[in-house]
Amino acid sequence: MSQNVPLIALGPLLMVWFGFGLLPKMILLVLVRFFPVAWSMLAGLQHAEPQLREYLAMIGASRRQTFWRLELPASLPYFFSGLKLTAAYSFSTAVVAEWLGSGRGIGYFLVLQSRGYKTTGVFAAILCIVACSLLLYGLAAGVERIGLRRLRPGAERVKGGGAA
Amino acid sequence: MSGLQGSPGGSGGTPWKLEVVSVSKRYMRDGKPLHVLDRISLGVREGEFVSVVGPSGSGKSTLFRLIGGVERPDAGSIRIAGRDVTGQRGHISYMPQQPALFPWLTVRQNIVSALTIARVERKRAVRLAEEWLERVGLGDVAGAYPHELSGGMQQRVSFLRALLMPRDVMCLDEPFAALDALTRTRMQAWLLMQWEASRRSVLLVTHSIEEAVLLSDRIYVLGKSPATVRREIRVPFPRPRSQDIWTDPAFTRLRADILALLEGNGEHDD
Ligand SMILES: Nc1ncnc2c1ncn2[C@@H]1O[C@H](COP(=O)(O)OP(=O)(O)O)[C@@H](O)[C@H]1O
Ligand SMILES: [Mg+2]
Repeated sequence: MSQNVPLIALGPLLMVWFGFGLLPKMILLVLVRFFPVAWSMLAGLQHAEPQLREYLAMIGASRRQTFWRLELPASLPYFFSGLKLTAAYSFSTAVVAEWLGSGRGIGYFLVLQSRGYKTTGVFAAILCIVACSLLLYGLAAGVERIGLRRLRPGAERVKGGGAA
Repeated sequence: MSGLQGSPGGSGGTPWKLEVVSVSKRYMRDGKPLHVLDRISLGVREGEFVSVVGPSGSGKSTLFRLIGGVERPDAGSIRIAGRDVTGQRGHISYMPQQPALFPWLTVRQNIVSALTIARVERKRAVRLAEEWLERVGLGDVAGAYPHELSGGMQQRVSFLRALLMPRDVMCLDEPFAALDALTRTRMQAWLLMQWEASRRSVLLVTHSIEEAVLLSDRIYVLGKSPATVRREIRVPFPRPRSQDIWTDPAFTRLRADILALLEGNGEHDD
C-alpha cells in the first residue's frame, strides 16, 4: 500500500517534519521496507492451512500455541517473498532519500551529474544502483533459502525436490 | 427414540467417558436457520468403541466440533469423564479425515508437538513417539516428512498421534474416507488391531456401515436433517474380530437394518 504513495512526495514532507538529518531517510526506508513485508505476512497468516487450524482447535491448542506451531511457520514463505521484493525496492528508496536532501551518496551524485547533463555519469550511477539492488535481492534470496531450510525443512523440500 | 436411557452415569458397570446429552445445533444459512442436530444423546463408556453412522451432511463433523468445544451447542450439554465441559476445549484427541500433519515437521516431531500441547513433558513425548512408531512398524519413517509417506501411512501417524495424547476420548472423523478402497480395508484391519490392543474410549464417525460394524461395540444411527438418533445398536460379534464377519449372514442382516434406518422409514425391508 505504502508502495503506491509517491516517495518523492513523501520525502520533502518527512524533511519538513523531521529535519535534514538521518531520521527522515530512515523513516522513508522503514515505510518502504516494512509495510510490504508486514502485508505479505498478514496474507500468510490468513492463508495458514485451514485443516491444520481446525486440528489445533479441536485438540485445544491455545492462541499462543497456534501462533508458534502454525501461523508463524506457515507465514514464513510470505515473509521472505516480501523481504525479497523490499530488498529490490529499498536501495532505490535510499537513493531517492539522498536525492532529496543530502550532500553525499549516489542520489546526490545522480542529481549533480544530471544537472550538468553528464550522461556518462548518470549511466554509471544507474548501473551502480541496479547492481546494488540486485545484490540486495540476492542477499534476501539467500536469507530466504537458509531461513526456510532451518525453520520449515519439510515444506522446503516439497518445493525443491518434488514428491518422494 | 433417545440413545441414552435415563441418567447414563447410574447404569453401573464401566463409567461413561463421554456423554452427549440432548444436544441441538442450528446454523444460519442465507438468513434462514438450518437445524443440523436435534436433541442428540449418546455416550461412550470407558474402553468402548462407539460409532456414529449418518449420511453425508447429516452433521457428524458438527457433532465433533461441539464435543471438542470448538463450538457451543444451542441446547444440551457435553460431559467428559463425568464433568460438564460444554464449550471447553482440550479434553479430546482428534483424528480428522485429512491427516492434518504439519508439513514442516517430521513424523516424530508431529507427534511430539501434539503431545506437548496435551502437556506431556517433552522428553517423555519424544520417548513415547519413538517407542510407538517402532511398535506400529513406522520406526523407519520417524525422521521423514509427511509428504514422503503414502496416504495410508500418513493416516497411521495421525492415528498414533491421537492415540498417544493422554485424553479421555479419541474422536475419529471419517478417518479413512479419503483413502482408496484397498488401503481403506487394510487400514480398518490395522486400526482394529491397534484398538483391541489399547482399548481406548473411541467415538468414530463414519458413513460406512461395514466400517462401523467391524470396529464398534455399539453404533448410533443418525437420521437426516435435522439429525436425530434413530437407533442405538449393540454389535453382536465377539472380539477379537476380523473382516471375515463381512461374509457372516448376521452381518448382512445388520447392514440391511442400518441401511433401512438411514434411508428413513425406520423399518427393515428387504
Ligand atoms: N459453520 C457453518 N455454518 C453454516 N452451516 C454449516 C456450518 N458448518 C456446517 N454447516 C452445515 O451443517 C450441515 C452438516 O455439516 P457437517 O457436520 O459437516 O456434516 P457431515 O460431517 O455429517 O458430512 C451441512 O449442511 C453443512 O453445510
Ligand atoms: Mg464430516
